[in-house]
Amino acid sequence: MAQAIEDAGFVQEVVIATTRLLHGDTSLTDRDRTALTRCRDLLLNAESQDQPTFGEPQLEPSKSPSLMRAARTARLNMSASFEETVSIINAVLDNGDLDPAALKVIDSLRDLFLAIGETNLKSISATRSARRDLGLWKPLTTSSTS
Amino acid sequence: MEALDDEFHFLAHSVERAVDVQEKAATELLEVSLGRGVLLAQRLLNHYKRVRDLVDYTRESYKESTDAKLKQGAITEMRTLVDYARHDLQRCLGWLDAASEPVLDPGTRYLIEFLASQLVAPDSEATVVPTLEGSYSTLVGAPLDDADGDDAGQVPIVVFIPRREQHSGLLHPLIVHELGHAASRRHGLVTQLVERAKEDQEIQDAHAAAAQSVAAHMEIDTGVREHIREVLEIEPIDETDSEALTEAASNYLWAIARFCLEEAFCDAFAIQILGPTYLYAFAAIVGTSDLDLNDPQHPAARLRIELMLRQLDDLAWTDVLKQETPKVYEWFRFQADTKGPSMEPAPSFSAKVVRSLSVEVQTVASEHVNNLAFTPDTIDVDLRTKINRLLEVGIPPAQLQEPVSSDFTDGQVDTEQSVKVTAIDRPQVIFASWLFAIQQGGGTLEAIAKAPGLPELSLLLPKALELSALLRAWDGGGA
Repeated sequence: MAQAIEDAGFVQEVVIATTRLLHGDTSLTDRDRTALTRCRDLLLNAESQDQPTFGEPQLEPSKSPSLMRAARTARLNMSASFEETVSIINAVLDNGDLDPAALKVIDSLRDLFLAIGETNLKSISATRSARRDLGLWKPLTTSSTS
Repeated sequence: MEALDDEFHFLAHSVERAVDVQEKAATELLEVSLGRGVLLAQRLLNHYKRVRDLVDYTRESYKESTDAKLKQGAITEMRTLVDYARHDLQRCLGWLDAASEPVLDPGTRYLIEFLASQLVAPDSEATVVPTLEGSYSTLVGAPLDDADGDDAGQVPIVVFIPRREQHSGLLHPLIVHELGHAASRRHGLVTQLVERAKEDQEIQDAHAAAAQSVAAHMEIDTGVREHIREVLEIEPIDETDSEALTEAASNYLWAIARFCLEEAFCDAFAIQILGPTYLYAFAAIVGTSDLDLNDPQHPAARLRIELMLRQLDDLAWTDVLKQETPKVYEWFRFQADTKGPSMEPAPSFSAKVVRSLSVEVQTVASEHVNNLAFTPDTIDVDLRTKINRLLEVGIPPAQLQEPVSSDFTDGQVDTEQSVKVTAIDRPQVIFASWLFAIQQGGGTLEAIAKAPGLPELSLLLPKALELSALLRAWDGGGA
């Protein structure tokens, strides 16, 4: 469950960084740059056909199976493809370039992450509720002798 | 907008209040810990700091912005953090309590600390937490990871035990199994095994067939979908989305195969370290349940018995088992040879993976345990007799005393008798004590049920482990 906090923090960092860009501030902080780099990696991972590894601790948000799936589901509302979005993020990271068309994509990217944040919260609530109902509550572990 | 602002601050303060209490407990432990739970408290403090940092960062950007979407996102994040802090983090308080006032005897703690330092990481720190859960389990990694990712061998481990067993003879073998989980995750041992499974063509074929079947079940059965969502910790799955169903089914099958491989590895790990003692303890706790139970996280007990008997045979323990506990061995053999009922596609797939990789599992366990392996060639009849004599008169079997041949001093024979004292190896002590307890009870399966509560295992054994460790440390061999 520690993944949940990593995911929530990452989602919010992307929302903050993209909001800054949308308001014309291209002087990104280190934290913004890290968030956008991870965001780009998440989009690349979400596009990949490789199966994410389940069942082992995974704290890197750009490889979080839950975020990858949420990204794939939520992308239907995006104005651009993942590839186009990735190249715009790269341009922003490289030289801060943002033309009006790119701004539209960044706006759409922010919406994507807002949707991912909502999905993350719903997923946590649903899991906790299911554990309560089904008596499946377990410690933070995935292992036991019996 | 004002209502939105108030909601944000309401949630942010709720997160902070939940973290405050927990931070205080970790700080107090560091102040009075006497060296116990230091790593645990430090890592938890780092984790709380991470939560606080997220709150501060979000609050700062919230204050600076008039953007409604950013504000809405910040509120969603705070709701997630409140949920996390109140439910998941709260359980860490119990870990801090257990570190502050350990319930286990010193001998058992020394054994756990020694094995963890040898097999998990040199500076590992194990905290044993009694819980109201029915089974044993282990936590290593998140949320106790090092913030910088460079832990320099400092690994906090939390082992959960059922509260009823905190003074029982079952502790030693079953905690050794649990340390297998920590070793596996620290060194990526089961990850290696999963990779091998994924390369095996026969397993790939079985996976494809099982995934198809599981996806078909998911389409029509809400309970199956919910179970798989629960295991994978993903959002609800849309039953009309066939791509999502197949993907979830495929991931689910690899997830349960990994869980089952890890359990099989931990059994093999414990057998390497303790020999048949682990099998006896396994019988006492797992042998009482449905041996063919289809649990997604564990291979069926019958399969585990079969694999452990095979490993013990490979390690040349079978003759010892037959000779020392023939009736118990017969029961194990009968259960292993009895065919279980046919299984559903998912457990059938994970059983196939575990069985196909059983040799690799043993090899990985054996290579990792290396020179800490307990082997039958170290069994000495004379030593067993001496241990039994000590147990019979209620003395913890920790040390052996042997007369040393006389020295010559100034050409005169020194008539004072010298005695050499040596610590008995702990796996020997544990094995001999278990055999003593089982044989005292008639050598039957019933005796195994009684053994963990007998004074030989619940009182003399922990004391012997403590004295043996102290003696070894005194001699410079480390506890």
